Amino acid sequence: MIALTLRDIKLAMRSSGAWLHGVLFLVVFTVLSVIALGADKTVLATLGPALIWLAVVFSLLLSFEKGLTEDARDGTLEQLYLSAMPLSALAASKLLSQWILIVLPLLIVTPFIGYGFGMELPEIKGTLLALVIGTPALLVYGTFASACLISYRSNGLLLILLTVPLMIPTMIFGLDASDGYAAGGVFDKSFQALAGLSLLAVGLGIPAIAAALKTHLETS
Amino acid sequence: MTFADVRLNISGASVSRGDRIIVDDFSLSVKSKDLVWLRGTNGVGKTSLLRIAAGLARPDTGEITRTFGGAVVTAPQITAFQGHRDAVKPSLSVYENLVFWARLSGRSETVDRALLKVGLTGREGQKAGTLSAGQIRRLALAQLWVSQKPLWIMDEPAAAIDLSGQAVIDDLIAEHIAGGGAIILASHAAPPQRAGIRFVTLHAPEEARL
Repeated sequence: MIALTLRDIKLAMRSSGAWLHGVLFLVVFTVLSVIALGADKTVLATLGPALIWLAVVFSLLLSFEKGLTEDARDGTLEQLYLSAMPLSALAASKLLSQWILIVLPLLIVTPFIGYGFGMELPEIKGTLLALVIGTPALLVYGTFASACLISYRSNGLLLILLTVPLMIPTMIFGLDASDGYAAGGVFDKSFQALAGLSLLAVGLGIPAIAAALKTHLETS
Repeated sequence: MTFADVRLNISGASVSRGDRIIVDDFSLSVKSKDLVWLRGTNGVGKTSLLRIAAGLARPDTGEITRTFGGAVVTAPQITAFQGHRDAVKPSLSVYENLVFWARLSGRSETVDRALLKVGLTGREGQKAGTLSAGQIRRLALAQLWVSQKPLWIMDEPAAAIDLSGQAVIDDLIAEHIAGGGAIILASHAAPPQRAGIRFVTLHAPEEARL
């Protein structure tokens, strides 16, 4: 399982920076919002957490498709299945590599963007922690949707339509947690709700992704 | 490498695509040291049958049983599959590609031997993306070999491959059969001159009824 994660990371490192598209998108989105909203620091600082969450969600939506479809198209998926690796281990490994390749770079730039928006330190910390806890859920939804849609050639739009409704609750609780940090720290109720959501998504998501992959293998 | 007794039984399998029946009531039984050669015109369902035999697809009706050393097993435990899609990553080197699959089977020490067998020694560091189609097929054959599974399912192994590559395939097959493995393959290439090949010719269901 770790071998697969490491190989996915190696593949991404050789894709001449394709894995950085998400970060680039995040930065462009931020710059554009600053221009659109006017450089009023008080406005930007209040809207900061919401803008960062929006940017992360959009950036993830753009990145989901790559993870599984390539392996399905070049036959890697069926070989992995026949290598006797359980499909749930495959799903877990894909989630891990996607988190490292797609989510982690976004988290790394988030504090700088928050600083750029003129957000206070506790606000930045709150948003970052909420993202750390909430992004696994977002990632699971997107990966599940892309596993369901593997067999379709151009599935980008469908993927977004399927994923967005699932992402909304996470985003609501995530924003709540980003704001709640200043008052109650990581043990604020909003953080507990967010963590619960993420744990539930990962717990149910791994077998669900495995089932979707199995269906794809049997019908292709 | 020698294998325990391996058996695959397909009985009464039918496959349809939409409302068209591709394979109707197909039965096949394969055991250790068998080499089954599927023949038939394009679109007659060879690939569908091979995917079923490999456990990658399920027939609409019919029973499939697999045993290894007398015990009932699942497809991934005994099957290695070589299909049209070769699972080769162009941005990884020949060695990196192969060692990944060898590690998954827990046999990374077999990589050098596999490369020697398929004639890719000396190209370990070359990116798979710069190989020719025939060389990629050789790499795919090496991937099949490093899995060390008793049942090989091969779909057109000789596609894009030259004469010496054809000899490589014949050698791999002969060695696998001699070691107690079993092979089901579909190919339009001329079969090697050797005894013990079981030919199975598929006909389209409509044709069979005439």
